[in-house]
Amino acid sequence: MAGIDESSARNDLAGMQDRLARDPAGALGLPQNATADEVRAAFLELTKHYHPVRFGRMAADIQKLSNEVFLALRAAHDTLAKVRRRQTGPMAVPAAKGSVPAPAQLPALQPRAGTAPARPVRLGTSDSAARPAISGPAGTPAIGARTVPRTAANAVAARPAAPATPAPGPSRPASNAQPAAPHDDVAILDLLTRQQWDQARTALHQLTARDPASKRWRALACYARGREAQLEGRLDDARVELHDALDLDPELQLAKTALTELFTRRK
Amino acid sequence: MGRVIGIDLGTTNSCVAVLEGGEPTVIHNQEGGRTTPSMVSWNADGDVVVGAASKRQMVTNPQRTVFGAKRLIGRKAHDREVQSLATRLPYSLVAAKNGDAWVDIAGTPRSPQEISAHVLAKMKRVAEDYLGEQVFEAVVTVPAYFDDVQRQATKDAGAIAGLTVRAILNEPTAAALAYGAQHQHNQRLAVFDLGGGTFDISILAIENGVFEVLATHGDTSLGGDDFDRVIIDLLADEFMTEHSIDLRRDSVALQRLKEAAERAKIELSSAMTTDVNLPFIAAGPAGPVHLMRELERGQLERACRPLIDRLDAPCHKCLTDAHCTPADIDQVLLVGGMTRMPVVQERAVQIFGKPASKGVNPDEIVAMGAAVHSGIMGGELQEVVLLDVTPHNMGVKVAGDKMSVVIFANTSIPTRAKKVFATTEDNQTYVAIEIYQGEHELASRNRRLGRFVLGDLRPAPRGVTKVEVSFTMDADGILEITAAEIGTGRAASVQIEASSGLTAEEIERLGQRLGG
Repeated sequence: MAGIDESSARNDLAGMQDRLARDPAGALGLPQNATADEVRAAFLELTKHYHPVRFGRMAADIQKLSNEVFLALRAAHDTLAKVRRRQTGPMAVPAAKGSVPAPAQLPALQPRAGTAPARPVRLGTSDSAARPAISGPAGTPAIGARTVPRTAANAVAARPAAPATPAPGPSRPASNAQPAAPHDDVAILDLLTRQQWDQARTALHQLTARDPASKRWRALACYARGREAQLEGRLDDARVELHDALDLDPELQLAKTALTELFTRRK
Repeated sequence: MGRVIGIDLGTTNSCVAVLEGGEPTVIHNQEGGRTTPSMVSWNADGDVVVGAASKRQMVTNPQRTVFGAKRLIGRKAHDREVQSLATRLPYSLVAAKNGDAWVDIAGTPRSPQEISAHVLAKMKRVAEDYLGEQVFEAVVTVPAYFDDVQRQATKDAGAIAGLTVRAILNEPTAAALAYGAQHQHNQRLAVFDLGGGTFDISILAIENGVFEVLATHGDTSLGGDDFDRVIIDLLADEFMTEHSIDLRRDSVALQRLKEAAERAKIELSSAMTTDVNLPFIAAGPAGPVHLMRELERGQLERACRPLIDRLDAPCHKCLTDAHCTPADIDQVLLVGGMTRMPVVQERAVQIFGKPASKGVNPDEIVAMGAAVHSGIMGGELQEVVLLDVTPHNMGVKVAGDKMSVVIFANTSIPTRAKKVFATTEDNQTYVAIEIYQGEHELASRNRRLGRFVLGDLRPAPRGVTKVEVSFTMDADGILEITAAEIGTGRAASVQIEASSGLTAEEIERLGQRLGG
């Protein structure tokens, strides 16, 4: 808030309204022989204090009153400036800051002392939440095996990440067309060939979690979803997933073959 | 009293900022981004997904993923612009009962207000996470050229999201506030704002801390989406010639094409050529067909020439209305992601005859300006204030469907203007005053805002009875109209608040659903 309460705002506005009605030049704090530049400068100073935006969070009647006061303020400016325009020309060049005459009557709205708000307390959770789920040291099993059925997929997932891949750094080059762990790749391809979609997906999910920088697993996961959709006749879904697979790994022959089949069968 | 946050609710991306220690600070979202895609998806199970997560679904869930709701908000389904948009959207539009353009999500019609509310609610949460406190108030920005219905619809979206919108701020004005807060010397600024969906041009004078908008113009149907569409058409037409397949008729292919077009456009802002590579895009007679070609910056620029040309007229009109020549402009601010395109920058330089100012982040400056405005409202910033203008003519419909303008476009607000009207029939006992907004000389071609009646007139021959109509527009652009019969003092008054098409009950209900 502006550091003032609503009743003093109301009084201040009403007072200004009254002064503007009785003596516009006086309300602007100007002598009768003020120049156009002085009229302009006084108007701008008062605008900063009496513009309705300053009262925008107050009661509706104060907002309404502030609009009326500002309309009167501008009318006063226009009238006073028009009288003096001939003397100094149009107000094309604004007055330099230093030459602004101080309004005789100081506006009632004063800057609040120490307006800088205290720095808010930040919750430290968002940063850590944004990090990948896997933050343990290399070799820590990725996601707890509790969610994985005891199947071939489990065998894939439970294998320590050690073989070829210590925890991948984020700056790892994107040449992921080569599988990171050949054993995993063979096992996955085997699941895919046997159309064990659930198990393949679960395993791929774990591999992705363990090795987030690798595009290979994500491409295969897309392929798995796409191929499953294709075989179930959901051809649009299949296209979307298979396209995603190719975006991730443009050389993924499985996806190319599936898309070729899809587009040929579609005829 | 709690904080007021500043939100730039963009066509493509949104951004939220707060004032900290007198300085605007852009807040990162939960994904670490400084802007959030203005996209909302409904999953098969009815869950709503917003932002980057929604963008990721665009391909897999195109019919239930809404982008660019800002181009629909406050518009009618039969608007020509909406119609032309509809043919190119992967989601479907429906006409609501009142004729508004809504989106059909799996059989449920949803208003653009509701969709935008999801984006606003997301921005609210982003701010709350950062501030560690609840937020109930916001300053939200809109294109300067939005009319009252579009503004009210944006306010309603805020209400649904649980935010009281304390001010609707014009985007170019917001940019000027953020820039001027750091460069406070007296100067004239031109803000050239080409975003995802709209083009605005505003000219402002900064004088002793008072930011006075001198004039504003724009085109509410010109933005990055249109440039994307030009590329889509270029690629699709060529593909059509070669393979006799229209990729635009296939929603999956269209979505892919759209992404590729946007990517190519962005790449061509820094590179001279780019590859468009869409394997397996369609099925030909002999199996799959691929779209692979190189696109050159020159080709893009030639194809976009008609769009670039549309930037000229609003700028020239704006200069005229501001009583300025290009030489009077001290600084040109480029705002909106589309101003990264070299040919757009060149055109701005050509129009204003000077290079644009550097060091402005075109994606963030509008939200920063909204935060500055919140500080002006809250009293933290005492030495800055904004005098804005009304962007459209406001008037009354008179005989022959003529628009009789009472408040002219580019009038500084708050303002009050009066006009006297005479009766058109003998012994006319009442006058119906119909309020319109817009630049067309035929009232019916403008936006109708409301109607009210002054009755019990003295019977008299036509033209004898006179009625004075007074329009008062407050600093928020809300119009109050008084009509008085001259000589009798009989008067009627009404506050015209544009309706966004949603009732208070609908807003309340949607708000509860969104909150719960």
